[in-house]
Amino acid sequence: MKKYIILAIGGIFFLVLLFSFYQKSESSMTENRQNVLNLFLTAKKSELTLEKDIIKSRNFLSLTYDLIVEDEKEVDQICLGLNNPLTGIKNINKQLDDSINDYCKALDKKMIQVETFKSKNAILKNSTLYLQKIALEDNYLVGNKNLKEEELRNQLVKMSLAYSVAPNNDLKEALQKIVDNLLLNNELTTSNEDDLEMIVSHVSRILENKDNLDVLVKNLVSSNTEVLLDKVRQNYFVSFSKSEDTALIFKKLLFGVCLMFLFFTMYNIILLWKSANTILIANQTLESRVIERTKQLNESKETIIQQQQALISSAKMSSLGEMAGGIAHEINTPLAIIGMRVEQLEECVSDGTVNTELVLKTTQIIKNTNTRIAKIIAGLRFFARDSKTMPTQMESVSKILADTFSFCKEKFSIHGIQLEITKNIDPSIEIDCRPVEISQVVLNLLNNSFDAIEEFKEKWIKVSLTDLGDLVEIRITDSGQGIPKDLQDKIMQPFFTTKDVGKGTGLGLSISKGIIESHQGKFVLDNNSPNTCFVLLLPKKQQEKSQEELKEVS
Amino acid sequence: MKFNTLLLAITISVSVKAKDNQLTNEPILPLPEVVKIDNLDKVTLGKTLFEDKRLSHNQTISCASCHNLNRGGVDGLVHSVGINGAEGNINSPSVFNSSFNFRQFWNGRAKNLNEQADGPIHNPKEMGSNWDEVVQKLKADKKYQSDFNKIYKGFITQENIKDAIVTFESSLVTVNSRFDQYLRGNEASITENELKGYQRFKSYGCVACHQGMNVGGNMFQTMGVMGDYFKDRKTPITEADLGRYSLTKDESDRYVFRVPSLRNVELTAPYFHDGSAKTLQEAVTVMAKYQLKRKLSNEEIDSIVAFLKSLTGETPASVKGVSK
Repeated sequence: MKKYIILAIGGIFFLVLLFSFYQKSESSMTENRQNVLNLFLTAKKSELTLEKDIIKSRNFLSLTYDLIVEDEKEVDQICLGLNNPLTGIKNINKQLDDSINDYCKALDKKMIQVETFKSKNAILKNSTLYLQKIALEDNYLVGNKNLKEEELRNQLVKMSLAYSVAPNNDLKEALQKIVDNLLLNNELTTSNEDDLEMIVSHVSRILENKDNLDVLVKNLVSSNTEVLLDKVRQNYFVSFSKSEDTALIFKKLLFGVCLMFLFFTMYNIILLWKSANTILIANQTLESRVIERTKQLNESKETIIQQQQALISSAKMSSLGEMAGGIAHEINTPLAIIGMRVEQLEECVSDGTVNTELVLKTTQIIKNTNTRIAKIIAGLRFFARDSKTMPTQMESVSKILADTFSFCKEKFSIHGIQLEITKNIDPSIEIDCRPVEISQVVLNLLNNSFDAIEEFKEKWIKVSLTDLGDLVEIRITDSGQGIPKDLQDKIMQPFFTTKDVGKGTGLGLSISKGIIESHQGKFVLDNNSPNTCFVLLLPKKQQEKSQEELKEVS
Repeated sequence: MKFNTLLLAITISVSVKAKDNQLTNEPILPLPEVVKIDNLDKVTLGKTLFEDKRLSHNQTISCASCHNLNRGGVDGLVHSVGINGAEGNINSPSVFNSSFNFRQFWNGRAKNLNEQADGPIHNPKEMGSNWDEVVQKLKADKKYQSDFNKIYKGFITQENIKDAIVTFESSLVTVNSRFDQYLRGNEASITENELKGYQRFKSYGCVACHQGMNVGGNMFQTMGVMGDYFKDRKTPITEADLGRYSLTKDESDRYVFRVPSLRNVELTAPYFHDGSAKTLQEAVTVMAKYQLKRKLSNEEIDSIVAFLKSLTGETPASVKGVSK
């Protein structure tokens, strides 16, 4: 994606660059084009006006040069304009620059010729004017002076005027001869006639300047500046069309690149669309996979729960297993009693000393002992059964405790553990409960205590029962030194155990807590006691419980 | 036949009066009636600069030293005197009406007043300075700082100094001479003698070169068209005598000068590039002799001189101190 953005930015940048090139190549000349064309036009016009005024000045006598001076100023502007970088004609190419230089050089030369023209023309005009005046003034033509001189003068004036109007070499030669003669013979100085001297001087000026001036005018009017200007113009147009070509190339290139860019963009869009599609599909797959995963997770969660429950029941079974050893003793003793009594009865029968009283007494003992065994068995059956579905029943606490003790009395006495039960327990204290469960809790606590204090020197477990009105409190205290603070929070958690691997499941206390709480009671560790002391607080009456709460407990 | 046609053409070209009384087809044209001053501040600044001696190397010479504004724009000397008493080699031309001259300097080496200004500044015999020095000096002046600030956004530069001076010089037009009044149709403004002088001026051929609005100043001409002036002068040829030749090295340009304007000629003695003619009479005599091969009588000379004096115009307003 990043790559495409960089490419796109690069493409746009390239386009802008190309466009600026195109604009530059196009505008630099087109902007100036009109100015340059105007300059060419003005140049041509200025030169033409100058030439026109020169011809006028040559032919009409009274015209002043002020007009030509103005024309000259105009012409001076031409090259200033052409060489001004702002005009935009200089420095385009060498050919054009050279042609401009050629033109301006020629123009300079022409302007020098114009100055020469002005000087010479003034002289020539003056001389011609002078001679014309003499011709007009009668007294010069008809006088009473030297006839020969008059004739000469007349001839000079006529001939030179004729020459100035229609110059030809014969006339010029003839005139020159007369002038030369006059000057050579020194006749002028002797003659005292100032006007003849003047006439000769003027004629000399005419002879001297006429041809030159005519050539000069011809040169000026037909000067090559026009050709050179045309060349400049031609070169300019060539350069201009070249620049137009360049602009066109840029234009085409611009178009091409634009097209490429368009295709590229379209290609990218297609790519993008495609990848977007892929993402969409991937998204859908992902969703279904998430659902699947969740399902799997739920399943595994259920499995875990099932396993946990299995573990919990197996823990029950394991505590049952623990009990089994103890139970063996418990059952063995009444069985022995029964056996003994049966032998006693058999002896009586065989002796023949059957005493009804004794028999009745003995059978009563057997009956009682049998009931005791049946009770133990029934207790075992209760343990094995899933207790949660069982309804609660009113049961004497002392009886529950006694039943429980019956499972472990022997075990404790074997290991030298003193099991004390508060004396004078009121057997009438009853609680609404599932006796098996309570018994299980008590048994669990007793077993825990047993494990904890087994190796101690001082081995005792005290169980007390206190009637608290609505509640009963069962305290089970052992000779242990309490549970370390950092473990107190953990002991109630499932699967936490300090026992050796294989010895405990870590479920005992958590199950016990669950059972007591399912009886709306409290299962706590009494921190105030110097010894390890668990306290069970149980209500005498069970309140109505919702089904969900029951479920939660399990 | 051809001859007659020519004569006819000449007769037609004789001056006639136009409807509004202005004479047309005269070889001399009147100066503008009024001088338009667009930027009074600039003209005033130009005048201050024109009269500022700091433009010379040792603070002794200003433009006005040689172009005295109260003496017809000249110094009245044969050759002008520059810094340290250095004597130049040429007669100062008048600054009045100089903007109407087609070239500047006697040999026309400057195309305009702007180019001209560089000359005297750098000429060691005139101001002996250079623009960097001048700019440096003027920058130290608080008054100039504020003046240039007003007109040129504070830039005291060679270009701006020249621009101000040229603007002032262009305002130096001597309008409303009696002869201009005559050209504009007021026949009474010149005397009969002056008119006679003008007619002679025309018919003898002076007008062939001294023509146009500035009565000269619009072409080059050889000094000595019909006689060798320099040979007769009997003093050695100087660099200044060479005229345009010193620029072009073209033999035909030897002794060729810009034809001087004859306006206010009454005030600009001595005359010619070499200042050799002390009076107008003398100048007219020399011109007639060497340019026209003509010997003039005193009466003729006087009338021409009288005409020339009618070309003296009013002192330019900007000289007197321009007021709004």
